[in-house]
Amino acid sequence: MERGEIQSRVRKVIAGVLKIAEEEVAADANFVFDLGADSMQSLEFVAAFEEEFEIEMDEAAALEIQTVDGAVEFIAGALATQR
Amino acid sequence: MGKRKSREQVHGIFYPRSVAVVGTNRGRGTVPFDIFYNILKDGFQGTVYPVSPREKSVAGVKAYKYVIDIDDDLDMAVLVFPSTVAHLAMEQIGKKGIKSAIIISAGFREIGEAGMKREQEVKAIADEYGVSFIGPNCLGVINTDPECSFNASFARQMPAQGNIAFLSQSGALCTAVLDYALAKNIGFSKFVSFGNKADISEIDLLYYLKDDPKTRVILLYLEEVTEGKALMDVVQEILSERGKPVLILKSGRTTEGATAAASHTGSLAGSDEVCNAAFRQAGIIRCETIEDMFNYAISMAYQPIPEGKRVAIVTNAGGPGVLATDRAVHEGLTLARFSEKTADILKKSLPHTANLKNPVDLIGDAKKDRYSAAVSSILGDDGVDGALVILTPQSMTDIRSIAEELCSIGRRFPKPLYTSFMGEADVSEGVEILQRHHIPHYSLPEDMCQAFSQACLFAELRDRDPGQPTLYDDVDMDRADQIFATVREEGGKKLSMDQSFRLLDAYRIPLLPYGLAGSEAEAAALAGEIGFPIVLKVVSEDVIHKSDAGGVLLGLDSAEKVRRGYQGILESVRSSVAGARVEAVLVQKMAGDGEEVIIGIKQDPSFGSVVLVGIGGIYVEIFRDFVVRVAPFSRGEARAMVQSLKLFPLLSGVRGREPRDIESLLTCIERVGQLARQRPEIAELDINPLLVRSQGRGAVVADARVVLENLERKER
Amino acid sequence: MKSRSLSDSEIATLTTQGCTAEDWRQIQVRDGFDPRRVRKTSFSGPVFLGRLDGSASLPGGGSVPCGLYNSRVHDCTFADNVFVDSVGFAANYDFEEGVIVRNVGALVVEGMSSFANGVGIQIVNEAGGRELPIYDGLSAQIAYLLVMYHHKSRFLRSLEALIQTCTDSKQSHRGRVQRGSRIEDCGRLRNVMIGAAVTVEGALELEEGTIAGCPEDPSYVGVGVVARQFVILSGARVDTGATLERCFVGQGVRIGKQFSAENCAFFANCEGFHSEAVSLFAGPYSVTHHKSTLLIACYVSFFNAGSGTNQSNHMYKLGPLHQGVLERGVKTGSFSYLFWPSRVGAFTSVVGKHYGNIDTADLPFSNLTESNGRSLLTPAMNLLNIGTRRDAEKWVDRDRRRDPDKLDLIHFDLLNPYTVGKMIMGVQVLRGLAEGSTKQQETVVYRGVHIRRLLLKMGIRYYEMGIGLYLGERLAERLEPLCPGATVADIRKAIAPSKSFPRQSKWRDICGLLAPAEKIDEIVESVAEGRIKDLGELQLRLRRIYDSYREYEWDWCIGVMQERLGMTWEKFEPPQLAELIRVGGENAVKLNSILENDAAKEFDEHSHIGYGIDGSREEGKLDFEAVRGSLEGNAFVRKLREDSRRVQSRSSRLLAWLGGLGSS
Repeated sequence: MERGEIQSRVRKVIAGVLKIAEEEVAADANFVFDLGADSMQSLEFVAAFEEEFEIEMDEAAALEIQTVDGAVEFIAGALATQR
Repeated sequence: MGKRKSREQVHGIFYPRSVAVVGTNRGRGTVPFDIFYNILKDGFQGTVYPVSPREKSVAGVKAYKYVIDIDDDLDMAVLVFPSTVAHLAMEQIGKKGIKSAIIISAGFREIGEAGMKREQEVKAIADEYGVSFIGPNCLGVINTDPECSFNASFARQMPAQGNIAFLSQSGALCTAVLDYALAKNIGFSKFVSFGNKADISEIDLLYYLKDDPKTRVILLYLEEVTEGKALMDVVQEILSERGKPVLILKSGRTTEGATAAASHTGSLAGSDEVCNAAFRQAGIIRCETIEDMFNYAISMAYQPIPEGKRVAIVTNAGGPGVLATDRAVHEGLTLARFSEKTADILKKSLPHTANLKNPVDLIGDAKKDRYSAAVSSILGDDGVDGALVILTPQSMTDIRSIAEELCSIGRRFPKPLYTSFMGEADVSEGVEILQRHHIPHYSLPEDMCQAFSQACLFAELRDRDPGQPTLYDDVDMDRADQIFATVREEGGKKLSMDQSFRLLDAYRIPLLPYGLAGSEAEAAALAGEIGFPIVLKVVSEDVIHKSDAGGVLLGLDSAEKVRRGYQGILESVRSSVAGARVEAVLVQKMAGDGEEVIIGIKQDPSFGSVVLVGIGGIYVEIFRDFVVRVAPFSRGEARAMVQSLKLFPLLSGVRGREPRDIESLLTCIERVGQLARQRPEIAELDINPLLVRSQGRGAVVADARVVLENLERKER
Repeated sequence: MKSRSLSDSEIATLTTQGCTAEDWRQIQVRDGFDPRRVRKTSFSGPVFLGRLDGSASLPGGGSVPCGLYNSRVHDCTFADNVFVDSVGFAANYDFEEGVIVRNVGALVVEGMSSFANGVGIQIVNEAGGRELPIYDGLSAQIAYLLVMYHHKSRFLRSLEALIQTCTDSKQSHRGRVQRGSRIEDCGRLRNVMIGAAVTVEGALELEEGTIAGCPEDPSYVGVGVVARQFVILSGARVDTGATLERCFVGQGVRIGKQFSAENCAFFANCEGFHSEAVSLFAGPYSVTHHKSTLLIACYVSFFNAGSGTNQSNHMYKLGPLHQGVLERGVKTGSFSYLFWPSRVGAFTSVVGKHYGNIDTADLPFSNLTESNGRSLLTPAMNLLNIGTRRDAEKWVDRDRRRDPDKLDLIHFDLLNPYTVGKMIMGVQVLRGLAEGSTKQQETVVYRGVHIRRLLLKMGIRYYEMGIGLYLGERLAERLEPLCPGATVADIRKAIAPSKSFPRQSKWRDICGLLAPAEKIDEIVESVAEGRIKDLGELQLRLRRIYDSYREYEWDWCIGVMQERLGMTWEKFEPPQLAELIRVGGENAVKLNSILENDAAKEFDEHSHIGYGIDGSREEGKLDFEAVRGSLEGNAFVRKLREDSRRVQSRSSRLLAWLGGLGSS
């Protein structure tokens, strides 16, 4: 999967969980600082990414992800190893 | 720690005019919301701005996505974002030009390494932009001054205004204290939970409160004392410049475990002993419980400090009067004797069944008139320093009016008036009146007496003259330097016996004449020079209990005995301690008569150099009669140390014994104090015993051991 | 004991000392009696006086000569060397050796009394229907069975009969103050039985009650206490204005600061300050410290009430007949509110106000919060909370009980067949909900709570982590002693279950005692059938179950492993065992590292629970324990790291050894 596609799907997922417009999710946004996600929602992101990309994410590592970019990186890596 | 903060920097924490709450949101009952809402609802006189990445408004106030979006100038930021993004927030706070911050968020050093890194990162950014902050991991800051009226905390309710300041390291304790104070109508001037103190510490806050006109008494809760010396210094300054009481509740946990005793001093001077001594020296009143702390604070904050210990007890029930008397006496107070004038007034205004002497029993049916007459006349009596008034609710007791009357009397006299209305439900109305008028009230008369006695103690601490430490300029610094240089080269951890003696000699601490012998002949020769009788002691790292191993011989009064003694020691030691390496045999003048005293040094990680003085000899750790002080201290303080020992009567002469040379002892103590300060490489030192001879004949060191710390650490 | 009448000269001495008697002939004394030690005391009815040649020490120092002074006494016996002074009226009491009674308004027994033994309190259900007869040997387990097993009517009747027999024997016209006790500065004590090593000082009024104590664990009733129909056991401390009405106060319980309780029972190590409780069944280690907290009509254990916690048991229809169950380890945040009937699962944190009836029993270790007026449950989240782990460890250290006979049987393990069994249930529930939901749904509803759909899988994952961790740990413990030399045959022996296997399935938490349902049912049957004939035997049988915990626990674990591996335990091979250990070890380490992280802290922040007051008092000094200092946090984190290291090292050793064994 292309980086670009990953990024746009990630942004879609985030927008869905936070109930905001996709445009408001910048590529370098920090979940908490820029998007105002709370801890519950951070967890939901992980679950939503897993659902969207059909991958398994390691809990501890997943909780370290704090930005959109970070998520894209992680997912790209996960896709590469799990496919 | 770091540099001291300036007054302006701390002032900015208490008196902001515009505040941004960074990271707030709409969740009622969550910390980010509550902090914002509290500032808003509790009468903040400035302007408050919510900063929330998601919300358009919080509690009806327009919100900003980023703090840099705010056009107006901002004095302060209250950071409530999770710790993971605190650095991003601080960066913006710095860029915005905000100079003060309170970091409420948890998840920093207190959770371990990962958190520590975050904390350091945030601090670095704050330093870069010149932001001074409280926290992180704290409950917040409250300033009740109506000029500001600032509740930047997530405590449910703003406390009443008062003149007591409370500082705490623990946030959880703060909420409980606020609860407690509310119930007792106790108000605060400033209330701070300072959490991890990564930037502003309790020392900075104390310096600020020293000059805060709104604060009369300072309370501090600490879990650990990290800057002991600085704490002592600031409290001493507060006491001497402003006469404000400082009360500290320090929880029992200690940072060190039991020291593997390298010396007696090391094992005796535990960190709690040192802390107690340091507090006492600084004039800090140490409290055991929160309840005690407030019991003392309410009296010191609103009533005059007693000028003496003569109390008058007034009660309407015999039993409690007796309890109070017992406790007062136990606390070292005296029952005042009334003047004739007072006795007359009492006689006229009280029934004949009343007890007119101290404690004055007004009898169970006493109403306002009797209380009024008794308490007024008593407070007007020159022989009385303070009145302790007890009330038990009888069916005819007019509690309300008595309470009001006492408040009125209290205002008329410049002497302290304390009360104890016993019982719970019945007296609550009266108690409330007393509390509102700041007349100290205690549910138990015993607590009342204890508080009074603490107030008297405070007066003593405040008024005493600590004196100046003596600096002895006859010390041979070069010689001392040389000794340490040698040990450093050898990579040693201890000084040898010889080196220890030479070090003490460099500091002009008198030694028993001695020499080290490597052979029988040498021993005899030295003995001849020194003069009989002689003591021989084995010098060996491998022999810990010299006497037990047969390594000590006393009272040798001829060269022949010395020779035989020398051989005897070698044999004895070698047979009791297998493979013992004997460096030499110490040949020393026999001490003769004298009191055995131990003087020791210990470097406390927080308070610095500590000197210990006590009963010496081989039973040091059994008798445990010792005191400690933090160096430097004056000769007067050294004298007080010695006078407080159980040993003292023996030193000053008792049962026909001659008094000992106490002045020489004091000089030795002072010199050891100086040694401790000038040579922080010394981790522990024992002079045991120091023999204090009879008056005029001085004091001499018979034995000493010195343990060193990491020699890389330089002098302070 | 030889006794005799007073001699004329003795009577004369007594009279000159201000004593009077209705009839001097009714007074018997011990040989060696000294009349000089009895002054200004009036006697009526038969009285016995022992020797009075010693002295007693009073508070504040000083000692006083034993004797009777300034008192009025009716039909009492005094053993040697009592000190009785300023007792307004004492009637129908037997005072044992060395007892001190001073400045007490009245100390009387009127009529026949059982001293509260057998009094039925309306517990859990305020309107009645779950009456608990209290008595001085009541244990948490027996209380639980009495209160919660109303559906087993034969059992209940038999047990009640056993209790009746016991309490009947406590009826008496006479009271007793046992050795080592002191009663000082009190108001009125009526029909109160005072055990050994009991101190009562400053109590206002005590009526119809028993205060038990023992020298190893004295009990204390202090200033301003008002109590009616009460039982207080050894090591308990009821102090500072507490008000108790129809209450049972168990061993090591601390109550004070105007705590008020009505129809409540408190078991081992509970604490109650400032709050109010009605019809509360407080299992061991339940704690409430705040003024504005009300606990009503519920059963709790290992519970911590945040300030202002509240519940409703009223529906304004049929009266206050609703009840709640908060399973072990539940904590409520500040100003939380629950609506009965509801049931909250074990180790769940409750924050906010919940206006619906909920049942989250099958979803333990969860966070229950409020969002836009809805109850929102985040399953399994408390497994990641450092506070949960710390709490479980602190309870063991805080067992105050020193009585050699500890009545309440308590198991402390955080993960055990009960909680892990619930987690297994929880996985099924969450799976069902996940399967039954669509991607469009933001939340799903389950028994009164909403759960975010995306977090269902998270919940499953964390429960699985806990289950795997637990099984792996138990197995590793069993196998560690065998490593590295043992054979596969040795392994089989080591993991073999007990003879009673495989009857176990579900486990129950009987107010602190964790046991297989079958074992409890066996006991219930035995009582119902009359095979257990007295309370002592019942307590003994319960204790046997308690002591066999590890055995039953292993049986349960083996059972679960069988299910998960799909084969009977005899067929387990080293590779399967290795897998369980590997997964267990990994989960343990993973969990520890999550705990170390921010996740836990954040939840604490948002829920206030981390800043609530929990913990106990020492000796009535500090009202609150200061927790969460920087030191403690670090120390605990270090512990986690050490734990991870230990687990990892053990895993590698075991895996290496098992790997070498291959299959048999």
